[in-house]
Amino acid sequence: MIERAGERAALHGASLEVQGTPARDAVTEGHRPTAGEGSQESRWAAPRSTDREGQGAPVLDAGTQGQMPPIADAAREGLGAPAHEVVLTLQAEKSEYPVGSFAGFMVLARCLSGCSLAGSNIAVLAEEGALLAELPLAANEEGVWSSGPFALRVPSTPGEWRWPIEYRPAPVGLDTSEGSPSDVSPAGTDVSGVPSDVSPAGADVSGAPSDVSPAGVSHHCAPLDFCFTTVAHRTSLAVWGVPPFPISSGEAFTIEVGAQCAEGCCLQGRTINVLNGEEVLASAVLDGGTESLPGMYRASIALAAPDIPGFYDWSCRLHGDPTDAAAVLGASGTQPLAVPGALSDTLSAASPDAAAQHPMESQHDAPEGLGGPGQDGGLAHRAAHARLVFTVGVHPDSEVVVRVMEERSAMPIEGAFITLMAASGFPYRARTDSGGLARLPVPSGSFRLSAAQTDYDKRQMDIVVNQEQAEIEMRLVYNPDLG
Amino acid sequence: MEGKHREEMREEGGISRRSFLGSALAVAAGTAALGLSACADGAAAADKDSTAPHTPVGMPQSWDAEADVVIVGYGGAGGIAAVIAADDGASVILVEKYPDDTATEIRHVPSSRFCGGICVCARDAKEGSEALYELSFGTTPRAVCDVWGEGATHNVEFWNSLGAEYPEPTWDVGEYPELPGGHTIGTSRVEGGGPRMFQVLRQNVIDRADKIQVMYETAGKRLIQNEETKEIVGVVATAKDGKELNIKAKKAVALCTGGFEWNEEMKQNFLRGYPSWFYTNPNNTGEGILMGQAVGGALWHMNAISARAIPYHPDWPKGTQIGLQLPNLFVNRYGKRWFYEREWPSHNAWVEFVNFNSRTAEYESSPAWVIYDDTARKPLISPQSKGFLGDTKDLQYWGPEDMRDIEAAVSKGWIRRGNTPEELAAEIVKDKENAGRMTPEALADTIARFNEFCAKGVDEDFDREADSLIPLATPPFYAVKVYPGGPNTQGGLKKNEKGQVMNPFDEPIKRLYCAGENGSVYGFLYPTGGGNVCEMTIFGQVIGHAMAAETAWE
Repeated sequence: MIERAGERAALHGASLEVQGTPARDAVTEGHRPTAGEGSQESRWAAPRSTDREGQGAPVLDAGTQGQMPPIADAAREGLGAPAHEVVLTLQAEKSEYPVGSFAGFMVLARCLSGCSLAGSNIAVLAEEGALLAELPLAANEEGVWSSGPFALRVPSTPGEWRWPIEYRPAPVGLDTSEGSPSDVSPAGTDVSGVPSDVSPAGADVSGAPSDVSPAGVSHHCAPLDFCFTTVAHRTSLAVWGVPPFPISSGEAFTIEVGAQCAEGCCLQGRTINVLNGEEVLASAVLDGGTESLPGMYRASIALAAPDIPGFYDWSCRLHGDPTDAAAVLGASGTQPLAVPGALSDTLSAASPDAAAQHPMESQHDAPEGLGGPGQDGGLAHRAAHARLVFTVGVHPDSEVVVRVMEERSAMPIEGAFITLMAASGFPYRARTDSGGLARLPVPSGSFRLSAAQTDYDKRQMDIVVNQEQAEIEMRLVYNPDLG
Repeated sequence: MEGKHREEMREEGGISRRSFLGSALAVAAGTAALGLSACADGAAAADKDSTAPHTPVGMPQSWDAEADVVIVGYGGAGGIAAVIAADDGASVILVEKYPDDTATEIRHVPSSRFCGGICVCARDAKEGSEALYELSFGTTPRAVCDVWGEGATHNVEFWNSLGAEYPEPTWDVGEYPELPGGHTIGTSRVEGGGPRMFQVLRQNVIDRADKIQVMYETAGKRLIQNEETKEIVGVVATAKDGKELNIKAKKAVALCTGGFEWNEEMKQNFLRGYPSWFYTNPNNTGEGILMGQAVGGALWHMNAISARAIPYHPDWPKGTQIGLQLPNLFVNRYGKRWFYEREWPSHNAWVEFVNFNSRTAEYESSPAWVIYDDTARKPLISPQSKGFLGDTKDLQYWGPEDMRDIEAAVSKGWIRRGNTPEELAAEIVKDKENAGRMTPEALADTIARFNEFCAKGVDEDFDREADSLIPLATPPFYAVKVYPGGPNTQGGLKKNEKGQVMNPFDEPIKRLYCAGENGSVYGFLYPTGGGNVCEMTIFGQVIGHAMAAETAWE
C-alpha cells in the first residue's frame, strides 16, 4: 500500500528544493484547534507570526520545513494545561499530481510538551474515511517525530482531493519514553499532574478530542488535511521533416510527428490529426516509437502543399481523453473534491506491485496496461498540439549549385548552411555535403546567397539565377572564436 | 635563434616600435630622474643624522634576491616586459605561481598560452586611439589611448621581431566598426595560436637567461615600500616551501598578474551581475590588484569584462568555452527570447545576460539556456577540443572531457534533453536555478514562433538575419545552461600612458608599473578577439622600457 523507498525520498527532496512555490503551497500544518476541540488558545499563540497575524494556515517555506515550534517554548506555553498537544506538519513535494502518479510526502509530529511519540502512528485516510496507509513515527530528531518520506499513488481521475491525516497514539502501556529529549522533557515539571520524575510513558495520547491517560497525561491532536489536485497527463508533440524552403504548389511532402506523455505512458495507437484551423487535412496513427527517441511514439504523415504560394500555419493535434482535465473540471469552477470510483483506484493502484509498475519509475519504459486507449487503465491525457508552419512557392525552373571550401586550403566544408533569399519571398535553404556541395532548386530571379558555418566567417553575394545551372564557389575564412 | 632574429632587427634599426615608444620613454626617464633626486636627497639627510646604517621604515633588514626589475606574473605582459627590460640592460626577476614545464608536460599555463594567439592591430595610430577612446566610453584617458593606437600599428612587427610569424592583419574586423575609428581595427593570428605565440616568448626569455631569472612556484604577496620616499622597492613573495622571500627591485616592480576571474569576492563586488564564469588561467585570483591597492593604487575598469555566455557546472574545474552550431537560440529563465542571438559570440554579449528585473529582483537571463536540436548536437563543443593542459596544440579547449560525450553529459545534468520542446522545458525546470520559472508552454511557444520566422525568413522580434534562421525541429531537443562569462576581467590598477600605477589623486606611485589584464585599457567594450594580446604586447613593451630606464635607488 505504501512505498517507503529511500530513492523516492531522495527524489522528493530534490523536488522540494527546485519547486519552492508549489512546495510552500503544499506544506500545511495542523489547523488551530478551537475551544470546542478542547485546546487552549495560548498553546498556539506564539510559534508562528503568520498565525498570530491571522493570515490563515501557517505555511512553511522550503527553507524552514520541518522546523516546528521549539519544544522549550511550547512546553512553557503548555504550563498548567490539562492536556498535551501533538502538532502535525505535512511536507509534500507539490499540490498537483498527474493522475495515477505518486505523491511523495512526509509527516512530522511533535508533542509540545516534549513527550516521546515512539510507537505512535500516522494514518492517511481517504476522504470517506477508508485507511490508505498507516505509518509509524519511527524517526526522532530533537523531539520531532517523523514518518519518513513515503509515497502514495493518487487517484487515476482528475479532480481535487482531501486526504485527512490523523495521529494515532501508541497502545496504552507501551513505553514511549525512549528518545524523549532530556532537556525538554516534562520531567521535573508538573504540567499535568505527572510526578516530576515520571516521563509521559504510558500516557494515553489518543487523538482529538483529548483523552486522559492512566497516568493523568492527555494528548490530543487535530487532524490535518492533505489537499491536492490530480490532473490529466500532459502530452506534447514534435513536428519535423518539414521542408525548410518553399514547397512547390501542389507538391506532396511528408512530415514526421512524435508524441510523448510526460508520465511515460504508451501512446501507440492514438491518432494524430493535421488541421488547417479546424479542418482535418490528414490523420495518422502513432506507431510503437523508436529506440533513438525513447518515450516518443511516431507517425509519418503525407501531405500535399496548397496550390497558392504563401505562408501556411497549420497544426498537428493529439486529442485528449474525454476525462481530460478541462472536461472533468469544467469551466464553471465547481469542482468535485472526489470523483466517484476513484477511491478504489487509489487503493488498488497503491499496492507495492503497482508502484513498481508505475511509469514514473521508468519514464521511457512504459509498461503495457498504462498505454493508449484500452491499455492505460483509464488514465486521462490532455490534448497536445504543435504548429506546422511552411511556405509554398512557385515551381523551380533552375538549380543553384554551391561549392563551399576553406579559403586557403580549398578543402570542402561540410554542413555549411546555404541560404538563398529573394528580395521578396521566402528563403531557400540547403546544407553542404561532405564534398562541400549543396544544390538548391529555385525559380529564376535575383537572390542574396550566403554561406555560414561555425568557426568560419560568413560570406554573402548577390546572384542572378536563370534557367541554366550555375555552380558558385564560396570560400570561407577560417576564423575560430578562440578568445 | 628567435632572440637572435630580434637582435638583428634591432641592430638594423628597423623596428618602428622604438619610435612610438620614444616619447613615452622620455617622459618616464624624466620622472625617474626626479625620483632619484628626491631619493638621493633623503638618503643624504638621513646619513647626516646617523652614523649607523639606516633602514628606512617599511624596508626589510635583509633581502633574499635582487634585480633591477622585479615582475610579478610571467604571462604575456610580464614576459614581454622582461625581455624588453633585459634588452635595455636591466637584470630581471620574474615571479611566477606556476611550476616550470617538464620535458614532457606543459605546466606553466598563463592565459596567453592557451588563447587563440590573435593580436588586435590598428591600421592607423590616430584612428586606433579614437577607437579605444570610444570603446572605453571615455574612461581611458586620451594619452593612454594614443600609446595604444600607436603601439597597435606595430604589433605584427614586434612579434615577428621575437621570431613569431604573424601574417599581415585582416582589417576592419572589429566588433564595432560603426564607432569612430572602429573600422581601422584588424587582427592577425599566428599559426599555432596562443601555444605558439607563448612558445616564442618563452624562448626569448630563455635566451636571456643571463639577464632574466624566473622564480617558478613563487607567488607575489605584498609590495615593499620605502615609507620615507614612498618608492616601491621590492616584493614579498611566498616560495613553494612556504618561505617568505624579500625580493629587491632596484629600479622598479611590475604587477602583471592578470585579472580576477577566480576571486569570487572581487567578482561579486565589482562585476555587473553574479555569478559569472571564466575560462582563463585559474591562477588569476587578483592578488596583483590587491598588492597595488595596499600601496595606494587606484582602480579602474573594474566592471568591464571580455565575455559572452558560457556553460559552467560545479563539477568542472573551470568554465567551458562552447562553439555553437546552427540552429540555436537563447532563451531566458522563463523560456523567452530576449536579444539578438547572433551577437552572442561577440566579446561584449555578456551585457545582454545581466539585465536585472527590479520588480522580481532577479537577473532574468542569467543563467540563460541555449536551445538546439539534434542536427546541431554534435558540434556543440568546438571540434578542436581536448582536455585542459593536454598537448600543446589542443590547449584552446578547457572544458571537461565528458562534455563531449552527450550521453554522459545528459546523465550528469550538464546538458538537458527532451523529445519535444515541452519535455525539454520539463527537464530544465528541474534545475535548481530555474526553480520552476520556465513552463513547457512558454518554451514550446518560443520555439514555434522562431520556426515561423525561419519559414518566413524574417525575425519579427529581434531582426536576426535570414541566413541564421534555421528551424529547431528535429528531436531530441537539447539545452545547456549558460552564464555571463568567457575570456577575462579587464579591471585592475589604473595606469597612465607610461604604465605607471596611479593613486586615487592621479599621481604615479613611484617605481610601480602594471600591464596586461591587471587594469587593462579596455574600459567597457572590447575591440574584438585578440584585444588582450594587443594590450599585453603594447604595455609590456612600454613598462619594460620604462622600468629599465629608471635610475636604481641604491
